[in-house]
Amino acid sequence: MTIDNIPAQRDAAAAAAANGGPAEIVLDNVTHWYGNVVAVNDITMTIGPGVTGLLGPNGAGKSTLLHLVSGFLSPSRGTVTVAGQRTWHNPDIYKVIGLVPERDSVYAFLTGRQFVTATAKLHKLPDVGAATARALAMVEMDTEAADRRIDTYSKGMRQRIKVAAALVHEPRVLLLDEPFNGMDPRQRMHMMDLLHRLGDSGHTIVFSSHILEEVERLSGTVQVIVSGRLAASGDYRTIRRLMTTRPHVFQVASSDDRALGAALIGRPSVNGVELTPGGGLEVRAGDYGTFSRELAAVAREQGVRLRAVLPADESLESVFTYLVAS
Amino acid sequence: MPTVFHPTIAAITLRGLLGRRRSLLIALPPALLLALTIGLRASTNINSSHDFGWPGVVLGQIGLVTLLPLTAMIIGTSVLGTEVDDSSILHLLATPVSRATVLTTKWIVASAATLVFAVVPIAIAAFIGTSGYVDNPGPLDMTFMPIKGDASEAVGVIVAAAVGAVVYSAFFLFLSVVTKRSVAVTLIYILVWESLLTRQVSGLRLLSIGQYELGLADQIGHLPNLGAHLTLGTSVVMSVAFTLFALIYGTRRLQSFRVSGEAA
Repeated sequence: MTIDNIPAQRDAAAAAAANGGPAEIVLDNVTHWYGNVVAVNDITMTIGPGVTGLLGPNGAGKSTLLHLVSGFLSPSRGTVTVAGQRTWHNPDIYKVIGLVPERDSVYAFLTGRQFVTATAKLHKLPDVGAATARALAMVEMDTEAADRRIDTYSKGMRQRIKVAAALVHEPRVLLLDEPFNGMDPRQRMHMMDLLHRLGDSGHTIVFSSHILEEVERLSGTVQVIVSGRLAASGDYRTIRRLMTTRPHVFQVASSDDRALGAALIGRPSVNGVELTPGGGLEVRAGDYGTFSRELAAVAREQGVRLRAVLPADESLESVFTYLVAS
Repeated sequence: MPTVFHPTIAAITLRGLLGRRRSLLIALPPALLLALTIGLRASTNINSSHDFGWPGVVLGQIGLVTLLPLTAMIIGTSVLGTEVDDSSILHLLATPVSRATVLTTKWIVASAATLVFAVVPIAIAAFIGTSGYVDNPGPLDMTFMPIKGDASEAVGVIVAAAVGAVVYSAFFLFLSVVTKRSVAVTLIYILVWESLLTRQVSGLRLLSIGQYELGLADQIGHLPNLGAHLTLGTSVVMSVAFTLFALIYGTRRLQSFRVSGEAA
């Protein structure tokens, strides 16, 4: 299914383009401290259109960073801009930004539709009814549930209605703080799908999460925050390959594992080889590129046929573990 | 120039105020005042000068200085303080609406609710307490000035209560923005500052909303036994200054609203 098949998303994409096109988030040497505690430490980053995950352990500074970007915290040092405008002390920035806060507190005495409608009115949208209907459809809340009070909603439904309110004015930038909290698997899938489509249509989507699986499934691009610092930035598979001080682990299956292992251990690019109990080899290579090129040549020299070569530690979890450990 | 009133914010605020369980508390102080006034009025002996002393005490010290600020506190801290506490205010603030508009709209709603829930009962109590007396009830011991029994005494109390509702609402909204413990701070203000300190230290009366009200009620209606100490001019000027300070500084604090974040 493409975005053009879904009227609500297609309209949002068109609106994003009409509102001035893609918007960049730029942090320049940003530091924020609470009293004597440094929560964000000298972070410089640029986030463009697409889906970007802010990843880090609890207390790493992800929420602080999102609050800085959303204009609800002032940088102690440095500057934060979205679409070229500063975010602190600038209510007009909310024409560009949609914010989904982590905390569950919404106006629970309103119905979902009333909440989204009120948000549309606060944005002074020309057609409040149409904007509300579109936003509710985007989060699949255009059902009888929209006319129930929010205090009867499950946590997942509350998250979705918050997202609908954040999207009602078709912002070019959507900031979500731990958006999948409380969602069941089907709701997560739907939300991931929605964010993917918004990202693909030119919106800048930034979400924070401490759950690796969520980030891995939703976003190739990550900003890893550890102890208030930007530990890594970019596509996590690329980040892994640049971590040359950590050997890369490959699972290799061949027609003669022992002969292949003996030949590989003599190569400078290989740090270690181990026969795995269930068959196959686990190879630790110091240089990803050199090993990838040499493996086929060595196999050919030894007359061994390669059956499978899999990078074993290119998952986001491995990258994250290495970054946090270092 | 930001608008002063936003109907959507007002509607949300009003629904939130009247929908919360604590709003039931709003009706309690006025009910007590009315019950007390009716009871005292029924037992008033018009031939005893002592019986003319109670309306000033009840309407001034109970109505204006206790009931009104308590009601304004419940309302004022509800319309903003609870939203700040649970961060639901983020949904209002993450819109292009000016923060001044958010604050003034909530102030108007809080003032209007205080007028309905406190000033109207005080007005009824004022009319019950001051009307129906004969002009010359007989020999009087001059410890007490007899009340006149015309509407001017009640009008003085009502004007003072209306002004108090507006000033208290602005001040309690301001406290909701500057402190997370707005209920505790407002209670300390009412029970310690206004009810205790300003009675003992005359210089502090210049910084007491209750004293501005008593000054207005006394100068307009001349109801005896109000315990007023300030002149009309001082009361008016200080009421305006207090309100402007609370709204302007409250807006500035709301413009710099920070989410309390996690520490690394």
